Amino acid sequence: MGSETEPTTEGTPWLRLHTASLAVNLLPMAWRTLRGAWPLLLALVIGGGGLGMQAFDLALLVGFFALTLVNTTLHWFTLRYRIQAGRLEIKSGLFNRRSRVLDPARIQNIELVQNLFHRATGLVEVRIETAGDASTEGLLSALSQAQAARLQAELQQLVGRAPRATPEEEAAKPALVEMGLSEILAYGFSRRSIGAVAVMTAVAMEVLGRLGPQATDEVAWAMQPRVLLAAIVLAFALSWIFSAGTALFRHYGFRLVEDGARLVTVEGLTTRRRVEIPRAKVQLVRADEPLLRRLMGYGTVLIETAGLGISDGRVRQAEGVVPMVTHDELPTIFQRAVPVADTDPWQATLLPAHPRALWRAVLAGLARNTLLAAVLIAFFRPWGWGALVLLPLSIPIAWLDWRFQAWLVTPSVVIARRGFFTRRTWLVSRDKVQSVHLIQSPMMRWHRLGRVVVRVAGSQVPLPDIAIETARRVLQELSPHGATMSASGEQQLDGDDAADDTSDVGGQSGDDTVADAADTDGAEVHGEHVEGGLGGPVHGADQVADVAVGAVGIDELGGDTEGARPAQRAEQGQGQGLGREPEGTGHRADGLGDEVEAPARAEHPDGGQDGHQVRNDRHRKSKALFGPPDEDLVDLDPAKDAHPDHAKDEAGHDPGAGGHPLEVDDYDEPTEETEEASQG
Amino acid sequence: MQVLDPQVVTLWRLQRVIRLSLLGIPFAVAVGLGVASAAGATLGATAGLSLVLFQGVMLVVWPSLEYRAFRYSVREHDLLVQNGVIYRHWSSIPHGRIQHVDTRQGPMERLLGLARLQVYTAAGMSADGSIPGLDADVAEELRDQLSRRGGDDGV
Repeated sequence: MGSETEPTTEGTPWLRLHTASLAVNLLPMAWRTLRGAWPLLLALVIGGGGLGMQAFDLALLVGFFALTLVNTTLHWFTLRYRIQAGRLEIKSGLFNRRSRVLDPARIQNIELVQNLFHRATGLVEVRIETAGDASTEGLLSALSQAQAARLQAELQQLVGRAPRATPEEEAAKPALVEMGLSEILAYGFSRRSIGAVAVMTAVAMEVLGRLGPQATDEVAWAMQPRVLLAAIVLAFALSWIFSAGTALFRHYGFRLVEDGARLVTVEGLTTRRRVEIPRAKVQLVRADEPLLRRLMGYGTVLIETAGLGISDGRVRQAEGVVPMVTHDELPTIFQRAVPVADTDPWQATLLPAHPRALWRAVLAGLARNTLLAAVLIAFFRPWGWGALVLLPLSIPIAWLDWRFQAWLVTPSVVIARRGFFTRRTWLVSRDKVQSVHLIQSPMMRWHRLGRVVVRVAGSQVPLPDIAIETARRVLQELSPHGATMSASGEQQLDGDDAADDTSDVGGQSGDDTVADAADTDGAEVHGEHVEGGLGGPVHGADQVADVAVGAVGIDELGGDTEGARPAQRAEQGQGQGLGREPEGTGHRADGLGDEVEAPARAEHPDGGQDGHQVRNDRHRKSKALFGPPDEDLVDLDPAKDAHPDHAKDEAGHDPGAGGHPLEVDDYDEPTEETEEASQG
Repeated sequence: MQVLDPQVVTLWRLQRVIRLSLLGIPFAVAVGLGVASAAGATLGATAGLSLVLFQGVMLVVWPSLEYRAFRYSVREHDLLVQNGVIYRHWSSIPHGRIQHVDTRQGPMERLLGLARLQVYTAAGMSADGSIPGLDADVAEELRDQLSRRGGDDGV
């Protein structure tokens, strides 16, 4: 394609770069050549010496400059592009001919970059990102504004998107986000974390201390409190000034504008950068709220597309970054980036990580810090003992980390959040989900936890650690809809999980839910591990019990461990009682479900509860988590509020929970398609 | 859920034999010599031998455990792969999201009539789902079955 023999008269004529490209590209090209030839230059710098060597160096330099000039000229001379048969074709190179064909439908975003030379000559570089590794970075390196606009318009026309606004129209549009100077500086300030500076200082001190006896005087001098303080302040100041400076260059005059189906960001002091993201291509939105920025009332939003590129030898993610968004506006930006989002991650009640995950996090944190402390003590004897502080510290840190983990799956999106110091909130549209994974480490298996990881093109989102039963349901829930979900999500939800349960969907009242929460806990204590082959009814009972406990954990911290412990004990007891843990080889035959069919346990106070009722409750649970978002809220909140009630229920068994005659029949036949499949 | 071709256990054992002879035994010898020079010949021999013994046991036991842990299933909407003896992993890949499907056969696999199926999605970081040790015919069939279904790839 695009070879010389092809009759060019038939297709659109080839277009070439602007003549001024020669001047504009010289420096960037020099940089690129420099990067390619760095071993040579290193030899040049380290070498030197005699007169002969100097002549050699000079020759090298001249040769290097000539090479750059030739490269630039060649690039300008040979680069051709055109739109032919609905595709963008670009070819370049004299000896090494390469041609690239881009499908406009796969374009992820278009970036216009103007460095100082571009701006002086009124040119622009067009970078077109597609899914996969094809980027036009460095290819369309200097087009006139008019050429660039025409190219963009033609591409957009091909995909059938509305024509883009002219720069004037765009400037007139109200900006979704506009950053003032103070905000840019604040962004720069809050980017360097205090921790990094502290660690840097500490390391510097240690290195200084290890230098040897001759350095001890200086060290002693440096140990003076005043000097120490000054050094730390200086370190902070330098780091902040540097950070604010780079932020200023990069984000000066930042504007985020909505132009039809596109989000457009414009920014930059010397190099103007304009990133255009078609909204349909947004894979996920992420909000980063580092502690400092959070305290200032701001967060940073990243809008990620699938445009992956390799630049500087590392994988670069094409994304739009909105550096400073006030806390109140975060949901708005999320909504604009992912219009199908039906839930505001800051308003909605998200589901917590499982209480058992806290235990696991504490153990893991302790193990990690013990190792770290051991290493520190071994290598930095007198100071290293200070590392012991890490041990007790790891508990609150683990708790903080656990406490701020949250997740939610609604019919249209997946939301995940984690981190205290750097809080991150992800939102993924479910119709962008590429694959769903569930992982379980040995320790997680021991705690009956699982972690769901949702992958989209170019990125992945880990959900917090949740009960394995819940995790299985999430996997099951997210997987089949990926391809077909977008429009008919709700219907499918009902269709899969609660097909024979429709009578119940509308009729669920608050009271019902309270009863549910109670019963569920009952079921959990029963240790009834229901069959949950993938197609079959899911582990409702266990799972909502988990949710209920977790929800309590959020409100009253003291209570949550108590809340979780009986359930855990009961599970263990059950495992022993049956002589069969849901692990080991037997379990594997069951496919995805851990299937331990347990009779109701007589020793439990609720022992009188009959089997069908438990199952029946379990079934009703299946929609609690994944119903429409409103239902989520309704379901979860009563569970939380109803905790005292539920305690009461457990003591004096709730008579109402005994009979849901309507559903008994519904549920008599457990659907076990996968179960059968696994046998076959 | 489907299981792999039982031949795969042989394949994995063969692979382990090769790895053991190329890396494992030299490593064990090196460790043995190292320990011997530091703590005497008997201890050195014990260390080296126990390393070899451990690897030998792994050679016999591990492949069959892996075989038992590996399941896959082509369901209505997705491909489900389940594996992992210690770290357990379930992957679900919706049919619509499959970009392409490869089958591969190394020399040993060809000898045993096996093939490896590799499924790619636009998530692209690596092969999203990989099913080793399928009967070659089954792999071909599965490949055709999986790549036939199209749909919006969500990118």
